[in-house]
Amino acid sequence: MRKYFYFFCPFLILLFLLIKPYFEDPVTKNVTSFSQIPLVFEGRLQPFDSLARNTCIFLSGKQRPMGANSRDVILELISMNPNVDDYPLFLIRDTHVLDFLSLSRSRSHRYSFSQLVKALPQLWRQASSAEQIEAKKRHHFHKNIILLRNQVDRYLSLKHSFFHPQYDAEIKHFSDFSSISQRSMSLLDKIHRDDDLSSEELTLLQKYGRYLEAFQFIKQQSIIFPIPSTQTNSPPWIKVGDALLLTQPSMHTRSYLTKLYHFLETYTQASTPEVTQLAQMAYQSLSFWDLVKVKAEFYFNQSQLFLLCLCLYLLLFIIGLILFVYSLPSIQPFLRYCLYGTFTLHSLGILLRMFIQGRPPVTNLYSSVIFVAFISILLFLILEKIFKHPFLFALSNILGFSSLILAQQLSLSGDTLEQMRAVLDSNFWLATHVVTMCIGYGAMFVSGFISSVAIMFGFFSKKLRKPLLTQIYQMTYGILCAALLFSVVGTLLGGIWGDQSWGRFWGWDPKENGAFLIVLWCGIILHSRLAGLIKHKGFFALCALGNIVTAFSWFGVNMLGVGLHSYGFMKGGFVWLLGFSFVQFYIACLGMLPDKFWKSFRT
Amino acid sequence: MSMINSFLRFFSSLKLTVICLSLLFLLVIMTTFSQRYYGIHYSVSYFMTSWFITFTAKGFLNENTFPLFPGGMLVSTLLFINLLVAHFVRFKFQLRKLGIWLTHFSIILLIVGSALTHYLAVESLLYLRKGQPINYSEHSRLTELVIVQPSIDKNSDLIFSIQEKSLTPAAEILIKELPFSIKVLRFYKNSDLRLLTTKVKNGITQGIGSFIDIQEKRSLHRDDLRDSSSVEIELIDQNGNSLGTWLLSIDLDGYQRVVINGTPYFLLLRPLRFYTPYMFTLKQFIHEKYLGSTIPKNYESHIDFYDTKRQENRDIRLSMNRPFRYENVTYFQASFGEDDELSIIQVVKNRAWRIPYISCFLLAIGLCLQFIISLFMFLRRKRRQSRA
Repeated sequence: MRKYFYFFCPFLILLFLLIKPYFEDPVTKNVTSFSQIPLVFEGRLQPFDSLARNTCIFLSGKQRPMGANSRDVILELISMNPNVDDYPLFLIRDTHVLDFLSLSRSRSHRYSFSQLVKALPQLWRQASSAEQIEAKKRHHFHKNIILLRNQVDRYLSLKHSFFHPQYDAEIKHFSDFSSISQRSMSLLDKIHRDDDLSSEELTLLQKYGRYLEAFQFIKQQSIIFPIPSTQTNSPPWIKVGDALLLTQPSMHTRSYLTKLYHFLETYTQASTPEVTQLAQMAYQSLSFWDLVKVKAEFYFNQSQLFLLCLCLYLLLFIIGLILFVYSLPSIQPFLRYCLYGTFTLHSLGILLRMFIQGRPPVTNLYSSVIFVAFISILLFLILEKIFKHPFLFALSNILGFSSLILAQQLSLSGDTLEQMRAVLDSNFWLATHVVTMCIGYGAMFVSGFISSVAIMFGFFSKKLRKPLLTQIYQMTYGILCAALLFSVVGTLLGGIWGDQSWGRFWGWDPKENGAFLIVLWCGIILHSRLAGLIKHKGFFALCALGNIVTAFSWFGVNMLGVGLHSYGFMKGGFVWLLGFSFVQFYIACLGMLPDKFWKSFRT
Repeated sequence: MSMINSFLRFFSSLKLTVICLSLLFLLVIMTTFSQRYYGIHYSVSYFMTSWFITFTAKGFLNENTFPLFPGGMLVSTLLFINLLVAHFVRFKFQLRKLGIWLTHFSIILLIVGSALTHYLAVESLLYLRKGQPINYSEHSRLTELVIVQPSIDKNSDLIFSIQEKSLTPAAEILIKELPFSIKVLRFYKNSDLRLLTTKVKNGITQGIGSFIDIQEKRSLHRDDLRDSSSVEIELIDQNGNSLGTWLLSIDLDGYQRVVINGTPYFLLLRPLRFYTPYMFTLKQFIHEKYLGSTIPKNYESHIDFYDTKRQENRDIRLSMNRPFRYENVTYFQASFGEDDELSIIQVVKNRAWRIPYISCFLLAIGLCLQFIISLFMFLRRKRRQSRA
């Protein structure tokens, strides 16, 4: 009975995180309800919350800029709160860019829009000249200038999604506009008949013109599609500007707009029912599954499942370490079931992502890291079932949190649920080729990881003696065979995808080469073992080197910046890859030293 | 006898396998890295489809080429021989090794298949402009020199084509049907042309070439850009007298005319063409993006396809991940341009395309079989151990 309680421990933490928002003050509650409202951004239906989070990550590299909630910041931005311009939102680390914009350095590396405003013309000019340079030949400075321009662009577009910058009390938006527009139409008819207008009527017409101008501006600037369209022959979602300029908007659109504007103007005081009404109206326009997906995405964002798993893996590792040091085996079942619980949460996160996207688990580099971590931990747990070594738990915890840290880093590159490009848009091949490849990567890492630990263990301690050594050797060998199997099948499936889609089985694309390298490396290890060229130690060393091969074919080839598999070119990360390779190389070198240097084998 | 034995032992040895695999590993790494600078095609032809990786040193008098490292062809041939010999010499058929056996057999098949593909497959590009029927595709790198003899009585012209590989300096090309021979003076793989208003002293006596300043350039080795090749030729009549020299280039549009014995001939250097018995007409090109984003959602060409041999007409739709296959030729959507008025279709003709499928199928089955057999044997052993 107790073990089930342990299993559900991680879920209790999750539950706490999810119900926490319901005990907030009314204004925060309002914002929370609003952030569930669906809209289309970057071609994807998503809750406002996702737009806010991804925009904050894009602008300032953080989900919580200045410690504030991202949706508060973005809501203030789109409702034209004048304070937003002073928030330090823009992340600029490049000192050349700072000097170019003559900004003084700040410790947080983040700058406000009002600090940038003077240098904007300069920024635009430099960015467009940087864009003339071929992408491969751009320096960091050029890339960062273009990035900053895009950030400012995104900021301004969002800012002008609903309101005109010169908005004043005279232009009172939609409710006022619809009455003016009808009267102006009759006045225009009057002009057609060459009748004279009174000065009052002229002012009215001028006001009408200003409205139109403002709406046109909003239409051009906006990049979000928050209004569900009821019109036939139009996309299902339209921009605010489009909706405002409709000659005959439907009742639904009209009241939705009115409520939306009312909320944005008064949300700091708005009573809860109004927001709920607005949300209800938005939900009505969605199909059942779309609604479930938007809701699911909101709660997925809210729970930060993978961050939670990261913390739990780390926590379990630390507790395990303390238990090991003080040799307290009595609560080991507790750790085991907590790990199972955390692993279930991890799987739940992957399932949720699959449901929201309607895609197989791996669609970009970020999701591949999460999935490979899942596979590796699964393999560790299977091995533990067979061999019953508690150190496998420790390894799975380490692998779990280190790969999720990597995933957190990768998630900073933008929307991780983005739409698939046309080239990769094939669920069948994503589900077969990509998933099999990732299982291969996972198995390679597990074998490399166990081997590295075995080398360290044998080199620095006396405990790697016969039965343990054989056991570790057996498990590494088994996992390596599995890695070979999945890499070969994955690579071949990739070839068949290539042939089916592009008419060529093998195109020597870097990613294909990477997969081939893994297969070759497995082949080298297995045949060297058969030929008697390597024994246990050599086998471990080669498996440890296998980690470099895998890391190269997984991340390294993306850094080359060529080829068809452009699903996630990495910005930095080169130093980390180099560091990782160096450590693995060092371990492999230790593994190749003769017996007399090994503590375990010294006689 | 012992010679043969030691020969067989060497070629069936596992050490040779390890060496070959390691060499292949290095070659693949080099191919991958070199792609950043030289593009896929050049890298692959330099490292993988060559017998030796060569290094050219400039000596005092002439250039010397040394083999530096075995190329992909050599290594895979060695691997092929190694596997084949091992099958006869070392492998003994056992039911529990059926998986291994199948795996190695399918690798042999895979190597054969890729060799066949290398020698048989032809890739070219079909440039479809809206409403313009076309019946040929073009090679993306190679060129051809064509001499066109227009015929007045018939509906078709006579076209003589000389492929790039024959355009070597000092080569004299004789075509029976023509009253003259062509002498190649110089071939530029990549060149830079400049049109001047006055005549240039470049040795060209005829056509627009005498106003062009030509400079040789290094080949671009790019997958996305074409070299602008040029050739200088001299036409010689049957009596051995020179008729003049011409400069032809990919960059020079339009035919250059020469009249011999009252018959006009037209000269042109153009991308190597592959004529097909099919007529393609682009009806519509669709380029969709996801709402409010720049992420491409779909590229699709609607093409009117006419098979002149079978007198058959049909509509085809090509899009990403949905190519059109017709008699060992695959057509797939590769690119587009000119404000969506131009659709570029990649054409791959490969008669050996079935072999990889068969070998993949066998390989996957073999590996799975072996993995499952070994796993069961291991688990059974472990259970027996724990019982004992």
